[in-house]
Amino acid sequence: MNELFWVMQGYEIYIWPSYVLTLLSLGLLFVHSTKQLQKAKKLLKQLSKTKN
Amino acid sequence: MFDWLANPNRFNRITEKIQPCIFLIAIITLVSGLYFSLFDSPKDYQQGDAVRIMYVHVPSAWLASILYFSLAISCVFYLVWKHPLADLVSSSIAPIGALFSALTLVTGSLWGKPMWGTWWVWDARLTSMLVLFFFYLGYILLSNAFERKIDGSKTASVLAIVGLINLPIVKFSVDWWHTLHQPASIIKIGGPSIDDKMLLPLILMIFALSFFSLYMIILNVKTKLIEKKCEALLLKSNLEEISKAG
Repeated sequence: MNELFWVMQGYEIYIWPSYVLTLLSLGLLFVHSTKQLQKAKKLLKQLSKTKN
Repeated sequence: MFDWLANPNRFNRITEKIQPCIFLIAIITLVSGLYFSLFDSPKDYQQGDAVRIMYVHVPSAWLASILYFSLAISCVFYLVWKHPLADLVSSSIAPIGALFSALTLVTGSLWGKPMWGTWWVWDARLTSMLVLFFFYLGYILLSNAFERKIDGSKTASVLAIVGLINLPIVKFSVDWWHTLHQPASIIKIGGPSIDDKMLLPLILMIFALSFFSLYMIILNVKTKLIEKKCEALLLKSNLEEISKAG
């Protein structure tokens, strides 16, 4: 991969932030939603235990 | 379909099986889409490498519109047939749709600056996309604004259905008005007008974001179903305590 690839004809300051922002947002959404699911599962387990 | 899936146990059983496949397809299409977008697609003869922003901007815009349509349909199911799962689906779609419309606006600005010389213009396409983003925000805010959850869901659903009117405006704004934004180049009479080598990464990225969204919606619905179960258990134990005290 040569230096020209990263420079992208001088458009790198527009191209890379677009990709980084998109992938970062998808990643954060995934992590946040997975954590929420785990949290809900844990709460349900605790409540079921208390009930029993 | 909604009737059949409205049973939470059935929904969990089915999604348990298909969710890993959806995730796998999303990852494969995302990785290959990114490869073709960045390494194996030609430069545009006018825009040069800046055209690569299209591979994240256009799929985000499509998803923002498709998800809004799904949100509104789900709201119709909720209001007309009062399906509780429909409300969970709508509230699961909304944040994902809002994220994609925000990404569309931001990546659009990042594409607009080098091509048009400005970050933003009050152009019909850009403005209608901003309105779409506001409809998503409105839905999220309204559904959480009431003390009784059901009131919030109903009001937000009405807003989401009203917002459907904005979708054809987003799509056809470039044909109805003279805009700075370029006209449609994929879904148009006579077929796509972009090169196949550019169409491939674009389609791969659209698939990637679509499968990712589907995965996230299922994940969010599952979370909300468990939260509902927790609420029911808490309510039951509270009622038991009250009856014991009485």
